[in-house]
Amino acid sequence: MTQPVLEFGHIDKSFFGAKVLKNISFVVPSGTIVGLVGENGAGKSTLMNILSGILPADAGWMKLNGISFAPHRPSESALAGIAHVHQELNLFPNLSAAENLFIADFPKQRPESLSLIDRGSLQSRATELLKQVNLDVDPGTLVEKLSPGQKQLLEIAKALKGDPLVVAFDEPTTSLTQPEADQLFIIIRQLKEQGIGVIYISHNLGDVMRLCDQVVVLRDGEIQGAGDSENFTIPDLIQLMVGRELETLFPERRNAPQDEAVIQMHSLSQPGVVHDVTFTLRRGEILGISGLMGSGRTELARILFGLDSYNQGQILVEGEVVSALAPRKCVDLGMAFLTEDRKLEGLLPSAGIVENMTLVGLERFGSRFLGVLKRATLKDKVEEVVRELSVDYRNIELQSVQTLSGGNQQKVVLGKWLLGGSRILLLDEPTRGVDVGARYEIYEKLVELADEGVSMIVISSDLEELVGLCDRILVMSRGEIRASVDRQDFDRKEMLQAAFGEERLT
Amino acid sequence: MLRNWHLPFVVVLGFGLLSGCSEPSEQLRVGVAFETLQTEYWVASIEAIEAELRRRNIEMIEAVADNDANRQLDQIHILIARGVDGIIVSPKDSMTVIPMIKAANRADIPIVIYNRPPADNDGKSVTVVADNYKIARATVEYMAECAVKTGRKYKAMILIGDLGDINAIGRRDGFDDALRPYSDTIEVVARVPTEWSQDKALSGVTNALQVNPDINFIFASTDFLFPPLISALRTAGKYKKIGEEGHVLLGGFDGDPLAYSMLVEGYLDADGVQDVYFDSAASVDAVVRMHQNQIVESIIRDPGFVIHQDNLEEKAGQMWGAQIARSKDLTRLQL
Amino acid sequence: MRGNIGHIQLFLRDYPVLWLSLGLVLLVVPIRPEILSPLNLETLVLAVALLLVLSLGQSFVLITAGIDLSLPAVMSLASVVGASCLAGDSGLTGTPVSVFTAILAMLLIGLAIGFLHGFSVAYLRMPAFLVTLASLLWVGGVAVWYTESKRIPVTEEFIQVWYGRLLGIPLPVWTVAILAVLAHLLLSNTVMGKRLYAVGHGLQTSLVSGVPIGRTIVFAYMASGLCASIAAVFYTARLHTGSPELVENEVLLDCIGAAVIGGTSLFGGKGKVIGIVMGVVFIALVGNCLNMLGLRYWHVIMVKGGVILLAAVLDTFQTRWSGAE
Repeated sequence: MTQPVLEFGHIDKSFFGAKVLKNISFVVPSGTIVGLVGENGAGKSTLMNILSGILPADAGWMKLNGISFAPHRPSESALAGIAHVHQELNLFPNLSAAENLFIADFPKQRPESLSLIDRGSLQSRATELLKQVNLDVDPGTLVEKLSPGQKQLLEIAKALKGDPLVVAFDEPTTSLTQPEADQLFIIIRQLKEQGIGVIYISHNLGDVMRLCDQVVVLRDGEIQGAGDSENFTIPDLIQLMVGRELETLFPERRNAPQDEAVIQMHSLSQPGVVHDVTFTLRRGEILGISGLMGSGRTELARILFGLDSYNQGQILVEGEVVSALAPRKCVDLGMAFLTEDRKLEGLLPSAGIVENMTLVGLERFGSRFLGVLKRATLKDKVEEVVRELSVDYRNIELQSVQTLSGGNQQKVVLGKWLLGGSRILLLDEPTRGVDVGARYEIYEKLVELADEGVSMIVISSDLEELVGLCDRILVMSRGEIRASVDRQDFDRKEMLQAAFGEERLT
Repeated sequence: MLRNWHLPFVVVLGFGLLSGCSEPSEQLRVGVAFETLQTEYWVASIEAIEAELRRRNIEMIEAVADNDANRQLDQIHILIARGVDGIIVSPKDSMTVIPMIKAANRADIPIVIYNRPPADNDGKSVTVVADNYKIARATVEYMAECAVKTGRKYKAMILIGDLGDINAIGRRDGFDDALRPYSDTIEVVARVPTEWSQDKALSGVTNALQVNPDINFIFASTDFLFPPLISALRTAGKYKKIGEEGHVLLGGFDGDPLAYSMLVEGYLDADGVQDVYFDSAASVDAVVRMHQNQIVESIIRDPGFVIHQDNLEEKAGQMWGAQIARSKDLTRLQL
Repeated sequence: MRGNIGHIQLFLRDYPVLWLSLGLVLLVVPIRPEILSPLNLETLVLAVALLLVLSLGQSFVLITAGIDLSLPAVMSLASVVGASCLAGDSGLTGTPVSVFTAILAMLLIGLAIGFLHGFSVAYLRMPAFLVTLASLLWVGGVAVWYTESKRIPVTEEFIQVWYGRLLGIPLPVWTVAILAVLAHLLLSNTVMGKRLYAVGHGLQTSLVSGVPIGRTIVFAYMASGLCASIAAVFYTARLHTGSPELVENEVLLDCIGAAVIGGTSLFGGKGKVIGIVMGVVFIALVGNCLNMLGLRYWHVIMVKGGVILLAAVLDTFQTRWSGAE
């Protein structure tokens, strides 16, 4: 714990004259988990790139086990004992777990010049590595058959193969369910027990506080605060990251929800997905749905938007019974669906902002006959919405949206629905992969809309988000609604218990 | 008879040569547009035309359309834009050549149609074509005589060409008319459409041989289709030399090198030969004379001839395929 | 002023094919000055017109990330049906009909087959590649069966569709120019145009955003079929012949290649009429120049194939790079 395994000393880095890292100095002691937090663009990735030898530092030094360390390329860094576990998994889905582990250096049969793979040794060494990360699958299993959590564990096993001194995790829980994340944390703590230094990067501050012994907060390339994590609270961290208090992260509601029902769902069921779901969404209400992955929360939204089918129950929109739901019909009814998979279902990644933003509301800008577009009006309107949401961009038409940051991408998706005149928003994980600054701007916009009478259903794995934002929260588990809690009665513990279902209660 | 036919032609040819010599300063340029060079017949033809043009000190500009009529029309337009003095075209079919004739007429450039006569039209052109009907008929008649001599019954198959090509129709009609008097002995059991394609021929013949395994009389509308035909016959165990048990009476059309070697080896009974040397010389001659504003008959017919086991020695010298086959043998000897 | 220069620079950067075309002409002119003769320019313009019709139709489908491989067969069937209507020997009509009716019949064939393709791709979720490749065979087969592979002559009035002139300019040039302007307006200025791009950029996103995907895809394939029919009218009139072998399948490479060279992406979502026009000019120019130089046919296809491959490689890398960012 006392022995520093990795030290950063006065690291500076500039890109084209802009300083992205200023005088970064901190220590990763062995057997310690250090949380590195900061908004997108705060300099976390640049620092990690310097550590892994992708970028050289302009000034400053690093020491590994007390010895000066300046890798020139990733292989050098890996050889010295630095391992990275990325959010994007670098696995071959069509190969087995064992083959993925040893893809770079298969154990060979003698004579080695023949390059024949030693299957026996491959199997036994892989089994051993998988055991280290508690991954209970056969090494011959194809990676495409593994769950996201299992893949993440396999990635860690791969990192452990070279007996690393330091393991850096970059947003490892993004695609994991809570139980999978818990499993991951157990493994990370095991690494710590083995005396490995761990750097843990995440937007999920709850995870960081739960897991890390120390935290380092970056903003604009500078360390804003560092120390034992017990000396910080989440609001402290956010304040350091964005220079703003937590209370203002969730804006105050000005108007209470109205009584008028916008969506009424009666006893909706689809075998194996949702069971007997009944709820009402009122005008101007922000209704949260909490629950674990697989609890039926996303599935419910997909059914409501006509993407999936249901076999029982009734849905009323604005008091009218709606049958044969389809996305197009829902759009006509003023509904919007911001899905959790932004790249596949939210954006046209290779198209520009204008093209993306006008996707829903296109018809409103076309003439009745032949659908000739009023392009000037259209562009003005897009620019207006872009300004309202403060989207950061270089070229509104030519720049493809996949080059925008996660927060700006999400603003574009939201803008698309607002431009389409949607009055009922279904938001599934609206701030996934969005940094804290942009997150605040999105919350602000949502609350403003609700005050104006827009109704919304917010689905999120982040309970803090729902507590801060919603008028009411429904808790789902195993396809059923287990609890409906009004704002004044919000109790995190109770809601978590409901989310975990009966097992936790008994 | 045939030699008589050649006589006036040789005279004309000499005349053309003289007239060519009288204007040494202005070298003529003739565009030669072929629809395809896919078979040896067309290659032999364009080479014979090229040789004839070179002999007369005329520049040749070549264009090959690779089976596409529209592209060929483009090529004719481009030849016209290049200011050629005459055009020799072997078209894809008898219809699509008409706009080509009209384009040449508008530009006042003489145009000679090689081998495939155009359908009725009011344009001005000269066609040099083998008498497909007569040659095919004579070939099949020879085969039928061979059949009658054995005293057995025969089941016949014909490989028909692309019916958009009038030559294919002539050859088919020649086949039918030749066999009509022999209906007691020879029954036509299979007509395989090939569109001049080896693939289609192979699958068609294979099917036909499965349905009628006792086919023993086959006429191919072009020698180009012999390779798939032989392959199908081999598979069926029916590719036998003349005189061997189970020999299938075989006839072809064109006179290509493969047909010549099949004749020599004794697999092929008879082959209708188009006289490529006559055709090419006549085409060049016609284009030159039209350029000189002489009157040329609108159809020049190549009577062709039938080559078979009995006249092989005598006729091989006139068979273009034999020339190619022999020159290849010669090079092999020299090596 | 600076803005203008910026635009021109962007233009040249976005369409390197313009440089290629220019270079080609400069290369050939000293050897064959006839290439700039009015006679050859007319040949060239007409070749551009013919290919442009097909390329425009094809690019509607390419923009939706599909492909239409059936064009040659659709053209052949339209050609023989149109010609037999004129000849009055089709069982359908019995008596000769007017040029107008024949053309209408041809266009309907293209629209009907296009509808079939769009329906299969959009509603039955079949791969466009498979559906249209199958059509290339069966529609082509129907054309051969219908005519027993014979050619059918067409009337003198019908031929005027290609050979007629208005104000000294050939009718097909007028028709194709109007068609290109309409296609441009449709793609850049209408709801349907934007939907075509959206479907090509992201099918799932379009679905969730309430874009009527089915209708959009069917529209694209019907547009492609219609363009194939128009091309068939021109080919048939130009060659004076209704033919079941109207055109070689290689024309597919020409029209897809022209679109890709002109900046249309095989991965969908990208493509502009102006670029397609330039791609078509280039492909037509390559054919014309190489013929002018008297090069053999395989040289022509080697060069053309090479350039198209290069454009496809560029397209792939561009898509990859922008995707990797």
